[in-house]
Amino acid sequence: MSLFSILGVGASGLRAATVGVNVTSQNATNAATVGYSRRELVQDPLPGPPIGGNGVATRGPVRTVDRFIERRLLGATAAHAEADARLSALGPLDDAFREDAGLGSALDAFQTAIQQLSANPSDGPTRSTVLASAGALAEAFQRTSASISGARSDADARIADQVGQANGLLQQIDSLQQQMKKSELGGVEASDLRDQRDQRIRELAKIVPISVVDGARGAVNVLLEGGLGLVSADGGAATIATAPNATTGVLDVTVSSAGAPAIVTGRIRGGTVGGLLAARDRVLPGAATALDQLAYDVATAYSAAHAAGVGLDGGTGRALFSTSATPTGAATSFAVSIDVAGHPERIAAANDPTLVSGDNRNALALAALSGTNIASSGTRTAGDSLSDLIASSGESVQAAQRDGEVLGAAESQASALRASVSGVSSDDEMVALTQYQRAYEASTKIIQVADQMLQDLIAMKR
Amino acid sequence: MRVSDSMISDLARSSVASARDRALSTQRVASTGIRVEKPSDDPTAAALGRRKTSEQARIAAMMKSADAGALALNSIDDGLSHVDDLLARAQELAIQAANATTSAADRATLGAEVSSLRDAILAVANTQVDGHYVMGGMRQDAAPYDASGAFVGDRTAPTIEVAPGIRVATSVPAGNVLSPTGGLDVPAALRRLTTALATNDVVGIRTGIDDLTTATQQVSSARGALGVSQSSLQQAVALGGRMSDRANEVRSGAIEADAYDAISALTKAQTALQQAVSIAARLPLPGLAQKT
Repeated sequence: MSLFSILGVGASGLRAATVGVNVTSQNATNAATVGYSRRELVQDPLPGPPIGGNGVATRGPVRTVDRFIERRLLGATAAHAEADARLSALGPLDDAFREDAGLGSALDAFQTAIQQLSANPSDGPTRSTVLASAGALAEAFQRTSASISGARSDADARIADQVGQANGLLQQIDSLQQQMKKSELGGVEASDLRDQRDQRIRELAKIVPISVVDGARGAVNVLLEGGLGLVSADGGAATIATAPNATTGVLDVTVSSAGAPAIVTGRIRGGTVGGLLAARDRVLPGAATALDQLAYDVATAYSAAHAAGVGLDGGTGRALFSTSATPTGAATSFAVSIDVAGHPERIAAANDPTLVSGDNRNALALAALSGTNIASSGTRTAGDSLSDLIASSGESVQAAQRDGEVLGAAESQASALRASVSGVSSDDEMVALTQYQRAYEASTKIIQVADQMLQDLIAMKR
Repeated sequence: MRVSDSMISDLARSSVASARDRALSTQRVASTGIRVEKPSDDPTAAALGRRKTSEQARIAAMMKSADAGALALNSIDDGLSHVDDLLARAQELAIQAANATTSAADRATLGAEVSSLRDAILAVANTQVDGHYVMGGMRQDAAPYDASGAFVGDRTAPTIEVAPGIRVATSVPAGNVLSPTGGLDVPAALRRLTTALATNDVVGIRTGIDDLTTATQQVSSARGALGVSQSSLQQAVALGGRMSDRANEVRSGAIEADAYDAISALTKAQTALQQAVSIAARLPLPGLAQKT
């Protein structure tokens, strides 16, 4: 061990402390940078025979990342985004069945008008009110149906937009992985590129559910949940796109890499796209079908009862409402029959064509339908069936809200876990800064001491 | 657990956002008094509220019909009361005419009065309200009795639904009172009495007295049935009022907010928001850097 080697030990300490301050500064200044992973400088003692050592060597800086937590966060992000997107897509459904939205009050007003008709079967204004309320009921059915179909169209448009964003992210992830490889092959540390790639992966998980599998040299394979490759660790990204479904008319999500595009719509159950698909393909069609069935049941029952009666003009066999031949699309096509539209005198309140002026028996039969099980295959009244529809719609939206709260908490927890490992603590960095500052001072002192010893040695010879 | 800067700021952000959201929703409830505005606020309560609103509308419509029916019955009752008086007067005249001391000329004079009483009874039977013959049964666009006093109307009494499945007659067809099937045709009996008086037919006059007794019984019987209907309508209106109140109570309980609870929740939410904001403003960021 020579005095000159002690100078080398001190110099290694100066270098290590300098790198340490640099890493700490980088951490401190990126404390608020989204996606930044805290760097750590690893220091190893440099052994040196026969006594002591050769100082300190540094490795890194190393990103502090827990792969398990990162992957858990991806799953939590996708699940929370699914619930949030489902909730936002179902907002119009919630609005469509508000008490002040009109379908319930329109049904009440129509049934009230029929009731009034039974008390005044030949009264002109009462008959006009029946027709007006029937028209208002038709508008309410059409409006509610339009709200639901509008919500489906909005979801479709948002799916196209989100898929476009996902496709851009796939290209970026692939590009960042290629840059990482080039940098690291050239000996340049690529932590920033890894952070950017991981941030893009988290953004992608918010859109579609994905899993990540480690590849060679820190690259990763990004897979759509279920195993379809989206980004290869070896290079290359698939294209995710939308295409209209010839049968349903709504958009399918497709993934294509080398071969023909594969339809993956049914496999996407998480992320924003998963939530939009759930709303578009499951909840909203369910509500639309129930609404159509109600409209069909109301139109069929009232028209049949009306056709059995006689109008003031003696006419009979006329439907009160017109709608589709089957429940499909019944709410949209629900209208006052052209047989009676604009003709209050054709409202069939009577049973006996010779007594139309005071015969209210058919009006009573029509009024009785409000308390008759005409809906849901003869098991519910129209009003009850509407209440059921309101309850089921509310439960769908409430489930999305509840899922959003629970899954949001799970995502927050996963995010906090990630921040606990990879996040920057200003306190830690300030302590580390002080530590490296003191280490630098100590190394300086070592060099000063060695220098003094050398000077003393030289002075002895004089 | 190691605590990073982002954990502190994320927690502050989510706490303030959550408190603000809660304050907004409680403010909405407190200001509107409505707890359930959308189905998702409480699906079960929203459905219950809809059912009760519908029930109230149906009851209100039935009560309105019942009120209209009660008015019609009152009008008919007034008419039948008048008919009762007219028949009593006719009976008085017939008894007076049947007296052996009454001359043929006096009987002819009494006959003229009985004839006018008959016309008055037919006028009651043919009463119109708003262009409708209220005692015309289900044929309300034509007089139940023609100019000759022959019954040409309908005997079916219109009914209305006053409660689910319960129907009450809202009219008494004149034919069922004055010319009931198997009963006495009152206008015809009065015409016979008029003829007997004009022709000084004492036997016919005495028969007429008996007929008037029967006629009075027919009217009394009809008024009795009418009274039952009136009573049913009154009971229906009273019951409907109670049912409506009950439905309203259930609906209010389901969808409306308790004022005290709403204000209390708002106060708590606003306090929580103030505290969350206050805490966020005092976050220990950026840590030791402030001291160095």
